Amino acid sequence: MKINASLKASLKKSLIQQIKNPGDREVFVTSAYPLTKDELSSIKKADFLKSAQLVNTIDETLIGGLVITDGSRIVDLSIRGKMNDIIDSLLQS
Amino acid sequence: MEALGIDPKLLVAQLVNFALFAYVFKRFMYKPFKTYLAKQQGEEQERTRILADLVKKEEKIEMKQKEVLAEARSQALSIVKEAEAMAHAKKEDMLKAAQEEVTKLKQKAEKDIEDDRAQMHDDIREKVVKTSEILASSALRDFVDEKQHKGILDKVFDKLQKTKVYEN
Repeated sequence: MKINASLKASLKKSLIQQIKNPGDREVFVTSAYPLTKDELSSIKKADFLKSAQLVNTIDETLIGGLVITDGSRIVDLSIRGKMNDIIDSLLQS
Repeated sequence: MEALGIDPKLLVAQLVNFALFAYVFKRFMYKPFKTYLAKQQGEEQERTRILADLVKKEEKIEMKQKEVLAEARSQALSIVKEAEAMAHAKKEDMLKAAQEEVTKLKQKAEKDIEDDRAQMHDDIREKVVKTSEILASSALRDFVDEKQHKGILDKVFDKLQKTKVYEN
């Protein structure tokens, strides 16, 4: 499989940066309403987010809760995610 | 003799004449006629023999004809029976094939109906779920305001502390 050269370079750069400065990585916290600093601090208390820089983005379709995107990892704690889980289980049963 | 009115010379002459007549008759008439009769009798016997032979031959031919006819009838009956048996077997085969075909078609139709029913069931379920999702989303959007969201976040934070994230 041939990997796009620009994508490969970007990935390499990102990985090098992550290895050199693990604290510089940006983690996107998506919520239905804007989060306060206190709320962001509470989120940062999680073990896997201690060295990350949190960036709050808004997505009203989440209804409630949060979606944390850390690189390729996604932690979905939103009402929309919960509903999707229920819908998937209903459709698969 | 003369007193009796018999002339001895005439008598002798008549005797000679008779003898000559008898000789000529025997020589030139009796023998050929007898030969002719014998010949006719022989021919008659030959004809009778030939006729008897012909009758015998005719009888033989008739018998032969009857035998051939009987044999032909027997063979015809045998052929008819064989043809009937073949036709019966063919009919059975065709019936069996038709029954198998009907069974296959029935099974296929049942499977198609079952598949269609399952597909319809899935479609209906999907539509019900999607509709429910739209209704629930709409209701929740109306219900969850910023204040409610804060309450949800408190629960999320608790959950987040307990969340373990692993690298893929």
